[in-house]
Amino acid sequence: MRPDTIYTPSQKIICRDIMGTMVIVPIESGIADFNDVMFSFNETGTIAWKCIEQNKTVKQICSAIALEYESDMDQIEKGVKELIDELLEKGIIVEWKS
Amino acid sequence: MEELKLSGEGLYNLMKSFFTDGLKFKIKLVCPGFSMSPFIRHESLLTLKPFDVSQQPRFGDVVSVAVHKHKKIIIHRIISVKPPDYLLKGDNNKVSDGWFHKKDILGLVEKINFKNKEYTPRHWQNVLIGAASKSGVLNQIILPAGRHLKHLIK
Repeated sequence: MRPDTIYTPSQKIICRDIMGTMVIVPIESGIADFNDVMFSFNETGTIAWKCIEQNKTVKQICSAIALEYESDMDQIEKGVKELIDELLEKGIIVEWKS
Repeated sequence: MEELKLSGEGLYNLMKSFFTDGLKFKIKLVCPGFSMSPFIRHESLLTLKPFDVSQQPRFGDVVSVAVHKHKKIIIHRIISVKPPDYLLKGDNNKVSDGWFHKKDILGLVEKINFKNKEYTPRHWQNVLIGAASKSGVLNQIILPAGRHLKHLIK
C-alpha cells in the first residue's frame, strides 16, 4: 500500500450517517439487504471513511487522524493499513484508478 | 470496524434515510411479529420498494410507515384512503393504527418470502383482504374460522 494510493467506496455498498454513526449497508442487485451484515466505524475509522469518501490518499488519511489524535505516526499508519486491508477484503472499498 | 445489527430506533432512522433521500434501492428485511398474520407470517423476509414521486399508495397495499412519535417502523395494510392521508391496520389486529400522511409512508411490500417460498401479492388480493380487514369480517369471522378449522384438522 503506497502513501499516494487513493481508495474509493465500492458500488456494492451504501453508507449512511445514522444518529452520528456511519453505517455501511451492502447492496446486491439493487437491493439493500438489512438482514445482511452491516458495519460501523469507531471514531478514527469514521475519520478515515470520510477521507475515503473525499478521495484522499492514504497519507492524507493518516494526517487527518494525526490532527485529531495524539499518537505517533507509525501507530496511525499501522491502524489505517489494517482498516484499509479489512475494507478491501470485505469489498467495501476499491482502489481508485484515474 | 464493527459488525452491526440495527433494530428499533436505528432501523427506523436507516429506513427513513433510505426512503426519503431519493435512493432508488429496494430493501430486504425480516418482519417480526404477528400483526399481519396469516398473510405475512412472523419472520417473513420482505422486499420493499420505494414509491415513485408520481405513485400514490392504494387501498389494500401493505406499506412500511415511520411512526415518528415512537421512532419505529410498522408494516401494515392501508384500509382507507383520503389523500394525502391513509388509515393503516394490521390484518390480525382488531383496531387500526390511525391515519398517516403520505410523507410517512416509506415503501411498498413487493414480495414476501417465508421459508424460502416467495410470493408476490396481487393488487386484487390486497383489495379483498383490505376490505375484509376494514369491515371486521377478517378478524371476527375469517381468521377465527380458519384457526378453528386448523384445530379440527389437527
